[in-house]
Amino acid sequence: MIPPARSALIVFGLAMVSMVLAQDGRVSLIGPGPVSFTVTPEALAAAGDCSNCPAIDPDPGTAVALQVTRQNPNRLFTIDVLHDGWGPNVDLPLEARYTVTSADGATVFLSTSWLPLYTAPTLVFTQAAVQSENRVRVDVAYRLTLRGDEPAGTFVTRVVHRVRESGAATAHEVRVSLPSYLTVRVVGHTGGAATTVVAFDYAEAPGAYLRAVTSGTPLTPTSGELVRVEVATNHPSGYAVTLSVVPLLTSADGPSLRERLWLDDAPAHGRRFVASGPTEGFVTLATSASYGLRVEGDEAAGDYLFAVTYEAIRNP
Amino acid sequence: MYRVLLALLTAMSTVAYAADIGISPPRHELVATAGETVVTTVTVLTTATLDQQVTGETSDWTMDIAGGTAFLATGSVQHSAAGWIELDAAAFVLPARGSRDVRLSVTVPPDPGLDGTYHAMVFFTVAPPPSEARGVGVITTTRVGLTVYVTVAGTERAGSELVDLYQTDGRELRAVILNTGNTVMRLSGEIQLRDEAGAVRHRLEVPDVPVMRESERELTFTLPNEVEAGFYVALALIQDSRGGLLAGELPLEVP
Repeated sequence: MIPPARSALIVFGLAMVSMVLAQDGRVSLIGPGPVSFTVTPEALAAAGDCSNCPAIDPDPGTAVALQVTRQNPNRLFTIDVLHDGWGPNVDLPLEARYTVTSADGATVFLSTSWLPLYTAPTLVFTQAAVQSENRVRVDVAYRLTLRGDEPAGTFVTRVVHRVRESGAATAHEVRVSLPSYLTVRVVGHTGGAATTVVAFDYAEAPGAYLRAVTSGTPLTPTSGELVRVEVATNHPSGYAVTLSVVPLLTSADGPSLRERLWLDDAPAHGRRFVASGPTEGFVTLATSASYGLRVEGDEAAGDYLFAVTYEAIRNP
Repeated sequence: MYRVLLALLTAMSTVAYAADIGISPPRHELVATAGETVVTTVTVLTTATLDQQVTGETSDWTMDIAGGTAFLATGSVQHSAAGWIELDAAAFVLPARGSRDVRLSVTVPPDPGLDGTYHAMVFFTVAPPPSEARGVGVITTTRVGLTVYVTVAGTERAGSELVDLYQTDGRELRAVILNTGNTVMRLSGEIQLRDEAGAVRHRLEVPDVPVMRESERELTFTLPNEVEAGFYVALALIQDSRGGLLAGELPLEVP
């Protein structure tokens, strides 16, 4: 007859043994993070301007390494990675690359490509890649491949590495600080310094001029080095762009043409473009073809020159 | 015809960025005591492929009840901070695909009568390139504005009211908020559309906009298409950034 205390101890011991035998692997942090990215305005602006920009590396001194221990040689383990998400309406393109080595780092078993991380699990590696090892080290490198239209602010997620079969897991934070910016620019043809000019040169086309006077249809540009004007902001307050037209060269004999320069269907001077939220990349405000000149027949012959300024502010 | 030619020209040639200017951050909210100087920076940046000549200058601005802004000469509005701001560079070359940190020294005059929030704008303008266009030539350039708020520490006074909440036509609501305080307030919150049983059927987000000191601001809310015809109660729950909740309700019929 076994005393009750001893039998309870035996049952507990058997349970522990069976738990250990049933485990598929264990994962733990040995380089604990957290990982932080401090994105500069220049890097964010550059990201908005090219589809294949260099990725952004984390701040120095934030390395992450894992240790994966095999618990039972007969049961293969699978290591997955996922994260908790960045928050409502925020999706930051975080990627990770893994280097799996022997515990002392001397032998490299596996180097992955850059893996995009999602809130759903992504497979990192399985025990098949390191079959003879009881314990391996996994160095994790992170990077951000920004699009340039990510919202301003500080965002934090929790990256989880886990053993798929048992659910054993370890987690650490990744923090991203994105600056707020506002940019306005002109896209023009290359080949000269004056890349932003739109011209209405009807000196050799009096017929077209007279038809515009009689029909009330605006004259269209005869040449346009300006391709488009664009604005971008990543702040939730959005932007307001106001046009001002300043005459640089006018004729003293006729009316000022400032009020006759139109942009689409309204006078250019004082025209406003307003948005109450962030842009998705750059938003086009106008092109060369947007400009028009409403002539009335009383214009004095000669040359005119105007400076049109697109004045952008964040909604204050 | 000319539009077709322009489109063809555009398609056939390469393009580059000109008059390209950005700032980060686009707004500074500073706090200082009377007589104190605070220093901050703004990054002026570009993706242009050529160096650009940039000028910096301060300006005053006002905001109307609908949120429209008007820019005026420095020192021309009552609560102007434009004269308090000194830039470390009024003109500079912005290098191609580069940036420059511009330092702002903001000195609040040692006047015990100053109170609350003062404001200004700092503009950075790209000098337009010369042109030899014949006929009527139009040079396009750009400028970007940094909003600056300066609050005199220790003099702040908060206070706000929801003055009005009304339906302008079938599918538009307006809310009028009065800032009775002497500092700038920012809004957030929502307007809930509740059905006759009291259930929230739709939520309209209150935008993050400022209400200037001792001023009114009118917000317009257009009901989205998914709001079905019927009877509702609009419940406005508008947050004052300085603390406090402005609440009001309005029975309305959506046609």
